[in-house]
This record gives sequence, structure tokens and C-alpha cells, in this order.
Amino acid sequence: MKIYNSYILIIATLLLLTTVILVALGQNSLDVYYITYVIEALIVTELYVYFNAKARHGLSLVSAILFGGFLVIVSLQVIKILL
Amino acid sequence: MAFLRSLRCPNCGQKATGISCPWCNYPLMRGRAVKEPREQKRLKKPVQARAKAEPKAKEEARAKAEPKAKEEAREKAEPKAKEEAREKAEPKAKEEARAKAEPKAKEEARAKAKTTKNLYTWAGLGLLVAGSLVFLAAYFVLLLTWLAALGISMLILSFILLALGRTIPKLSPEVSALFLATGINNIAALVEELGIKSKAIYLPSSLTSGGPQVLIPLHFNPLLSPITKAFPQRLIVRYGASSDDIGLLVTTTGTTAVGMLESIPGPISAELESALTFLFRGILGVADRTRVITSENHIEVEIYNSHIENKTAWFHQCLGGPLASVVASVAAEAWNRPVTINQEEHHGGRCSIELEVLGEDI
Repeated sequence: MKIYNSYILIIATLLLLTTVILVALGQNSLDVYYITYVIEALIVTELYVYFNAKARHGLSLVSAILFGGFLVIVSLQVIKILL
Repeated sequence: MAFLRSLRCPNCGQKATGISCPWCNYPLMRGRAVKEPREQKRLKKPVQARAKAEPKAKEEARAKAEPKAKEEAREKAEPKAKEEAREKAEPKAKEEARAKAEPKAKEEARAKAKTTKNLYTWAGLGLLVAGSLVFLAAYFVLLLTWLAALGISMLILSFILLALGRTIPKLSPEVSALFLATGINNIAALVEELGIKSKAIYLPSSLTSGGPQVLIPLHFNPLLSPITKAFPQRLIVRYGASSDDIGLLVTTTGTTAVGMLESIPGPISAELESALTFLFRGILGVADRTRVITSENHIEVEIYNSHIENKTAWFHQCLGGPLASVVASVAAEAWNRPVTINQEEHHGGRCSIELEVLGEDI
């Protein structure tokens, strides 16, 4: 389970660092935070190719949910721009 | 004038005179009864004695035989009766016992399920609740964007943990170690008891009846015979024409580990390296990475940060260590040829293994 621990630790550290950096940059939009988190999570998940099939299946499901949220935000922004 | 005297007929019982009965015409015996000859009397005696003794003996025999017969009958009847009684009583008793035990077992199973729920799932659930509360409080009450973002990051982490928690095997590492130790100890005892000094030959699944297996030659023979056909699913197999060409066909940790691979790698170094890293890092979690160098019929494998301790038991010299066993099995399957472990060295967390790919002739 060493691979799981390292994966979770890397994701948690990245998300925390992103929050600190974005707060330091004075970012006030929740959409930006969410999109950054999703992109980071997807990249790290893709880098961990040695997960077993069951874990990959579970993480694919999580990635799909996160990507769905990302699409919703993008769609709302596009609608906002168009209107 | 003796025949004029009236007599009672021995046949019909009427009074009669003359030489025969006037009622039934039965001849009437008159005069003094003829004395029985002595010889006849002597012969008659045992008959009479037997006639006298017979009822007595019969009585005695019956007295003796009766309890015996009764006992036998009881002996015969008792198991049958018991069986019948048990047949009648058993379902009832079982039903009662099940009725009593079921709620208890359910309760125990629920308690066990609660305790066996792994840490990833618990952490995921905790983060899910905490993240939801932080996000709702920050977004709707406190109106703090950064805190709401932190809540979202907690929710993302909780989803990941819950997804990973479902993939954790139900068996604890202790139980797995128990099974592994049992299997290894049995093979070790077999190898040590037979005093085998020859190196084991890792065979691909094409040369066995099932998955990849290990052939342990009982006698060291530098001129080994070629394998012409797949070995049968037996423990003791003959692999050559010579009377000494007998070996043990066993399954080891490595041969079982090959089954965990998603696909069988090719003979190229990169493919073998990828398969080994997937196995050691992703599935077994015993090492960080591997490096494979192939030259002709030799394969050199480096395993980095291995967590399996190095033991130098007798059977390790024959079969190789657990890591070497896995590497040899995967290599045999990748090359589709028999493989033997030439060398195995451990330096701290680094493990170097040198394999030799044998030809069709082993």
C-alpha cells in the first residue's frame, strides 16, 4: 500500500500548496481554485501508471466526476460571457 | 372262553366281546400281554430317557437362548431406533440452534465488518464530512473563498480515499504472511530433506500443464535432456531419458505472482522492466522500481528499495529468494523459455539478480 500512501500524500500536498499560493496571489474566485485542483489531480493520477486495475477503475470514476464539475464551471462561464 | 369276556375297545371305547369290536371292527387283543424282550427293553430305555429329558433340555435351552436373542434383537434394533430418533430430532435441533446462533453471528459479522473497514475508507468518510461542513460554513456563513476552496480540496481528497479504500484486500497482511510462510516452509522442508543442491529451472506455462512452474532436478546433471513436451500436473516428473532425470515440479511465490500481471510481457527489456515494476510497486508494494538489462541469453535485473529481507536458507540457494523467484518466473513467461537464477545479491535495499535463459534443451 506504499504506492497508495505516496499518491495520497502528493495529492494532499499539491492541493494545500495550491490553496496557499492562490490565497497569496489574492485569488477570490472559487472556480479558479476548483479548476486548478481538478487539473492537478488528473495529472498526478495519470502519472501513477502502476496502480492495479481495480484502483485505476475507482480513480477513473473520481476523475470523471471531477471533470464533470470542471465542465459545469466552464459551461457556466461560457454562458456568462455569451449573455 | 376268554374271548367271551367283555372288553373295552381300544379304538372306539365301546364294550365289546369276541375277537373284534362289533362297533368298529377293531381286533381285540386278549390274554396276557406278551412280555417284551429284554433287548427291546434295553433299546427303549434311552428313548424314554430322552423323552423325559427333552422337555427339560428344551426349557433350559429356551431359558439360555431367550436373553441372548433378546440382547441381539435389542442390539439390532437400538441403532436403527437411534438413527430414526436422530433423524427426527436433528432438523429440529438444527433449526433451534440456527435460530439461536443467527442473530449472534450477524451481530459478530457486523462488528467485524466495522473493525475491518480499512483506514482509507475511514479517512475518506472523515474528510467527506469535515470538507462538506467547512465548505458550507465558509461559502454560506463566513463568506471566505479560501476556506471554501480548502473545503473543496478536502472533498476531492475524500473521493480519492474512498475510491482507493474499496480496492484494499479484505485479508490482513498478517493472514497473507501466514499463508505465504506455510507454503514456503513446506517447499523448504521438501528441498532440504531431499538434499537437493541443483538450481531450480523456472518453466513457462507452455512447458507445463497449467501456469508457470518450477522444476527442481533431484540430481545435478550438467548434460540435461531436452524437454520434448509439456510436463503433466504431477509433483514428481521425469524430464529426460536417463534414470536420474527426475525432478520435482512445484509452484512457488514467483509462479503465482505471474498470474497477477494484466498481460504477459514480451522479451524486450523495457517490457520486462515495466511488468516487474508494475508487479513490485503497484501490486505487491515491495520495491520502488526495477531496471532490466538483456544480453543474449542473460538477463540482469536490479530492484531498488526492496523491503523483503534477505535470507540465506538452503532452499533459497535452490529456488532463489522471493524477489528472484518472481523475476525468474516473469522472465520465463516473457521469453517463453526455461530460466534459471545464476546469481542473487543484496546490498541494503538494492537487489541484483542475474538470470540465464536456457534453450529448448535444458
